[in-house]
Amino acid sequence: MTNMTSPLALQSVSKSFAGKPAVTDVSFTIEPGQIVGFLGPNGAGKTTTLRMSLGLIKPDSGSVALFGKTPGDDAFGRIGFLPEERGLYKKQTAREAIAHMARLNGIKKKPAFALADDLLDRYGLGEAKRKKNKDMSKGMAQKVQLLAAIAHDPEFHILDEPFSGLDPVNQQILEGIVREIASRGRTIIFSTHVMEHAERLCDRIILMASGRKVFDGTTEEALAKAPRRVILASDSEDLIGLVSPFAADIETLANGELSLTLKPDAQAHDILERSVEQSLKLSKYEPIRATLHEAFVALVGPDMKQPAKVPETNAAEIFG
Amino acid sequence: MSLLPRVNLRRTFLIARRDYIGYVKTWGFWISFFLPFLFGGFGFFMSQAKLDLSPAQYVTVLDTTGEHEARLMDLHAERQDDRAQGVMSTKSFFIQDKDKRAEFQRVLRSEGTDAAQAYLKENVPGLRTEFEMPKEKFKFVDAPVSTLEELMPYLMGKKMLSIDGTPTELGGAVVFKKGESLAQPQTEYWSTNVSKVDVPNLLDIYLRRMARVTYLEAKGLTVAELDRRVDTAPEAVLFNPMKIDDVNQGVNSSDTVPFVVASVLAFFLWLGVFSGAYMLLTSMLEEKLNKLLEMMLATTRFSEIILGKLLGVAALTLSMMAPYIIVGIGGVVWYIFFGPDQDVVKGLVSAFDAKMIIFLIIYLILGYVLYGAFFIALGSLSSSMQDAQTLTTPILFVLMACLIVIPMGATDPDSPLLRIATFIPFSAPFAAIVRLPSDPPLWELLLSTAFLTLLCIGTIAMAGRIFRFGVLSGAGAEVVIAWFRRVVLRRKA
Repeated sequence: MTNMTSPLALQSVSKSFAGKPAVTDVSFTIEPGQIVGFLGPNGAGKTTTLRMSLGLIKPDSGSVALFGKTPGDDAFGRIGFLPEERGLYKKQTAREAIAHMARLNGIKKKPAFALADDLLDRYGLGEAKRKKNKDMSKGMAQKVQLLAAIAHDPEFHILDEPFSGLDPVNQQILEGIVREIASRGRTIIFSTHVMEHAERLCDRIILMASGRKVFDGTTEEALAKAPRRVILASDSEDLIGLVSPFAADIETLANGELSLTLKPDAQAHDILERSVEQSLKLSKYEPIRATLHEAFVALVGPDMKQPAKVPETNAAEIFG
Repeated sequence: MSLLPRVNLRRTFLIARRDYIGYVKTWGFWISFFLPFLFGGFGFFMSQAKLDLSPAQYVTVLDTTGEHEARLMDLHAERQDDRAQGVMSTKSFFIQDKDKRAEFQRVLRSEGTDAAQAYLKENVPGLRTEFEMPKEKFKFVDAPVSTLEELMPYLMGKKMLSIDGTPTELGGAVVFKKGESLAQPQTEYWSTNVSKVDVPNLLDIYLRRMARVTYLEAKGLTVAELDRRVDTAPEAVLFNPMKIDDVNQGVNSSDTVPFVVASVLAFFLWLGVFSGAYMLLTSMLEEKLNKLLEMMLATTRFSEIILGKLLGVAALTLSMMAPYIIVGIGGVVWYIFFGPDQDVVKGLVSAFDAKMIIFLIIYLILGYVLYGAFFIALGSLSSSMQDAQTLTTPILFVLMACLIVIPMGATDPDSPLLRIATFIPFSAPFAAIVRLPSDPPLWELLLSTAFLTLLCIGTIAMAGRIFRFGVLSGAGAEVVIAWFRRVVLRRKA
C-alpha cells in the first residue's frame, strides 16, 4: 500500500563546496502522485539538490525528508533513481542488467528475470534481451538503464536529465514511459534543461538558477510569467503608432511584420479593439502562445547567461 | 553507535556475485586459470618430444705437447660422471629407509653411478634404477687436420666435419702449446661462438687441476688419494638445544621443512594480496567508467558496495589461484601419506600446525583488506588507467619491498629487520608468517595483528570517504595533487 507521506520535502537546504555556494536555501515538498519538472540551466544546482535528496551528499544546513525520514536505508526499494551520468556493465546483457538492479531492490531471482523480460518486451527492446550492453546503441542502453532504475516499480522516481542524449523518437518513447509510470499513481521528479518535456509532462515545475529556487508552481502559473507577444501586419503606416501604448517592446521582422511584446497590464484583444475603432485594417493578427522557455528566461533573467558552475564535490570534503 | 558499518548480506552477496561473474566470464580469467596446466602440458610434451633445442657442439684438440689431450679427455669424462651422479642422487628421494638412503649416497659418492645402481637393484627392489644421462653440451672429436692454419676453414664454416656420415660444423678447437712447464702449457681456444663458455670453463678447471697435480706429485702425493680422503670426510652434525621432542636433539629435514613451507606460504599470501588488490583497482576503475555506482547508491549502502567488491574479488583471486592451491595441497597430502622421507613428512606435519593455519587465515584476510581498501580508494579516485597507475605506484613499491622479508625468513629468521617488519602493518602479514616456525612470542604476533587491524579499520574508513567522494565526482589524480599542494605544501589554489 502506498504511504501517503510526502515522498520528498526539503527545508531551507544549502550546500557549498570549498566556500562556493552550489545550492542556497532551497525548500519544496513533492506530493504523492505528482510529476514535477526540476528545471534549470547547467550548474543551477539540480544534481546537487537531487543527490542531497537521496542522502548521497549531506546538506550544510537545512533538512531533507525522504518519505518523512532522513534519507537512507529506509528508502531503499521505494526509490527509482536514474542519475545524470549513465552507464551499464558492458558485459552484462540487457535482461541481466535490469534483473541485477531489481534484485538489489529486493526482488527474487526468478521474478526479477521475468520482470526484465516483460519490461524489455513492453518497451520495444525484446530483441535486445540477450544482447550485451556494449553492443547496444546509446539510446537502447539509456532505455535499458531507465528500465533497470524503475523495474521494481518504486513509489518515487528521481530522474536526473532522463532525456539528454536521446534522439526525438526515443525522447517520445521516454515521455510515454513517464506518463505510464504516472498513470499508476507513482510520484516523479525529473530534472531537465529542455523545457518542452516539462511543458508536456509536468503538473508542477520547480525552476532553479544559480543554486536558488526561482519558481515553484503549476505550468500555467509559470507560463503566465512569460512575456505575451502578438504578431501584427497591416498595409497602413499607422500600425506602430496604434499599438505603441500597449507595447513593452516592438520588433520589426524581416518580412515587415511587427512582433509586439505586450505591457503587463495590456491584453492582446485591446489591440484588436483599437484597430476596429481606428478602422485600421490588419492583414495579420496572431497572438503567440508563451513557452516555458520564455517564462524561464523571464524568471531567471541575466542568471541564464552566466550559470554559476561549481564543482559537485570537493577534495576538501575528503582530505580536510 | 556501532563501530562496524551496517550491511545487508543479500545485497552484499549480489554485488560480490556480479563482480565475480563479471570477471569469470572473461577470457583472461580462464587463461590464467588454465595457465599452470598449459605449462605442465607443454613441459610434458617437450619431454616426450625429446626435441634437441641446444645440440651439442663439436670441439677438437690440437696438442703439440702430446701431454694434455688425454688428461683433458679424462677430466671431461670425470665431470660427465659427476653430472650423472647428480641425476642418480635424486633416486635417494624415493628410498624410505634412512640407513639405506645414507648408504646409497655413500656408495654413489665413493664408488660411482654403476655401483650405486647395483646397490639399488640389490637393496631397494621395485625402484627404477635406470636413469637418463644429462645431455652433453659439447663433444670432443678427432682433429681432421694437424695444424691450426689447416683447421681455420673448419672453424669458419667453410669446411665441414663428417660425423656419422653427416656434414657437421666444427664448433671450436683447443690448442695446447709448450709452455713454461708441464703444468703451464700455452693454452688457446679458437671458436667463432664467443658466448659459449662451456669449453673455456673446462680448460680453466683443467689448468688449475694441472697446477695442483704437479704440485702434489712433486711432494710425492697423488690426486686420487686426496680425492678419496675428501669424499670420505665426515660431515658436521647439527644440533638444536631447543628441540625437545628428540632425545638426540639432532637437526634434520623435519626442522628445516617448516621454514621452507612458511616462505612458500608467505609468497602465496603476497601473490594473493597483490593480485587481489590489483583486481580491485581495475574493478573500481571499470565501475567508475561504467558510471553505475551512483544509481546503485539509491539502493545500496556504500559499505555494502565496498564489502561486496572485497568479497567478490577475494573469491575471484582464490579461484584463479585454485589450480596452484589444489596442486600444492594435493602434493603435501600425497607426501604426508606416501612420501619416502619420514623426516620431511614430520616437517610438513609440524609446518601446518594450528597456529600456522589460524595466523595464515588472519593475515590473509587482514593483508587483503588493508591493501584492497587502499586500491579501492585509489581506484575510485582514478578516472583513467593512467590515473590509476600514477596513484598506485607508491603503494606498489611498498608491496614489492615486502617481498624482501620472505627469503629472509628461510635463511635468517632471527633477523632484527624481520622482527621490526612484523610490527609494520604493511609487511606484517608476510614477516609474521615466515617467522612462525621459529616460534616467536605470542604477544608479538598479537601486537602485530592488533596494529594491522587498527590500520585496516582506519584505511577502510578513509577508503569509504574517498570512495564516496570519488564516485560522485570526476576525481582523478589532479584532485590528490591539488590536496597535496594545498595541505602539505601550503600553497593557495
